[in-house]
Amino acid sequence: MKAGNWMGRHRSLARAFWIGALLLCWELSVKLLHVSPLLFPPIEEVLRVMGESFLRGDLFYQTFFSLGVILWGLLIGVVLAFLLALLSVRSQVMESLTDALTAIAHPLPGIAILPLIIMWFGTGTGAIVAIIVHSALWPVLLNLTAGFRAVPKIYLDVGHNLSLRPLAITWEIRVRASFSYLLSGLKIGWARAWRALISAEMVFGAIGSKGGLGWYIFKQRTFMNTAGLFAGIILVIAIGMAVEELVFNRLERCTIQKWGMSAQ
Amino acid sequence: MRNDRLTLRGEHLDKSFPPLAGQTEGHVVLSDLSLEVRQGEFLSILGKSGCGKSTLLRILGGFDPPDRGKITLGEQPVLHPDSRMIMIFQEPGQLFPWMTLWGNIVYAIKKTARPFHKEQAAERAEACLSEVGLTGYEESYPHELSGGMKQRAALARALALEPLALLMDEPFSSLDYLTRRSAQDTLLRLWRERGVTVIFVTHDIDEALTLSQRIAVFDSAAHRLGECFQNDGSPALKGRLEALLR
Repeated sequence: MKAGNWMGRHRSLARAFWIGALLLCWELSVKLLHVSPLLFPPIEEVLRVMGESFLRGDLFYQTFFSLGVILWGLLIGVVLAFLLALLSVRSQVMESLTDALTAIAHPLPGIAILPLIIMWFGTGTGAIVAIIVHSALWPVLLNLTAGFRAVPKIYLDVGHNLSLRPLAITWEIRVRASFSYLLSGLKIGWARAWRALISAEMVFGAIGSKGGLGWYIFKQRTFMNTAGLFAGIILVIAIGMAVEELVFNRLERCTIQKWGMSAQ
Repeated sequence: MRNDRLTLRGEHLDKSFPPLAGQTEGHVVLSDLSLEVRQGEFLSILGKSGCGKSTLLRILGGFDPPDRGKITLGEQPVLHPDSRMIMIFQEPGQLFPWMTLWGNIVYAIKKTARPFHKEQAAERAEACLSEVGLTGYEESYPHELSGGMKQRAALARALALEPLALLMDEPFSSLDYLTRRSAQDTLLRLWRERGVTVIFVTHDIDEALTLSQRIAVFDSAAHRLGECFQNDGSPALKGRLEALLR
């Protein structure tokens, strides 16, 4: 038996192992090479600052603020994507319109339209939500329309055989049959929205009374609090991983994996 | 209870597909095709692959419109698919993968039964699953079943709707020999018990001889049904069909 075998079988365990190894390297290099803690603080310092910020309540608040904003943006983006995708299934004109819109807007990074958004919406929460909507809407829409188009004809035939009305065909067959497309669209949408959120907060500064995670990281640099900076970055990574594992992977397990539809 | 006047008729059906790129003329599939299937009859339509048998079946079921001609079931014209005639397709992927076997059947009943009674539907689903030998697989998802089980399940779903006719498009052709034989037996038994009309499309002479009362040979040169035989199961008939399909 090869030593690497268990790593292939237990991916999350292997991941934890490598993370531990990297942390060890970090700690060793700090201790042995004596780099300036202003550039590269030891782990315990990072953890201490993180704990302090949490205890003070601002990091906690800022994390939830960021997640709340992103949830709103994602929700609006997904609902819009659904509406547009449903319309483009029903009408050829709408299909070519959404196709053109997606082609124009999809390659445009959310951060590129920040100045414009500031002019239009000011620098409030609304502006960030607008950026997130933009980041999530197009990839979700792109995947949804592709999914609707790729629904096997046989499901539609069976639906017609059961005399389903067009609305039921769409809702009970097309939407379910293209669930794996919806999920991968959501994943891309989430990743882009998360990026856009962190960068937008750095550009805008604090929104709301204390701002979000991006603002937290930015603020630490201003105060030369490198440990705090690392704490923010680690939190961003941790949240990204947690969402991937707890939301998407779990959703995948109890839908398309259970249905045997994850081949896509 | 069954109405003997519920004959399925296709009269003077024409169908051609639009020309492919680079061709000027369309591709004729059916030309002035007529057929009549009595209530409760088991008719096989035998023909080579790609001759238009499946197109004929789709048109009979109302899935695709004919260019000309009309289809009637009893007195009523068939203009679109409905649950009086249920199609069973060749591909085993015709069950909805996001529902369990039980879910698939109850969903189909729910969408077609007027009025819908939950207990009645459950009873019917249970009976149909047991009739095709799938009791115990209620909570399985389609991808957990073998090809033969999926086709049996599709048969159960179709029968649960108590259709007048089953339209079967080479439903067993993807199965191995033994599985196919056992699925054929199940179909025959259910056909006898239920008195449902079956139109069975196949390219397999033995399958047609095993199953049907009447065998119509698709004449792919004339694009309509050619000779029609009462199935007596005789070697002479088999030889005749082999000659016709060559």
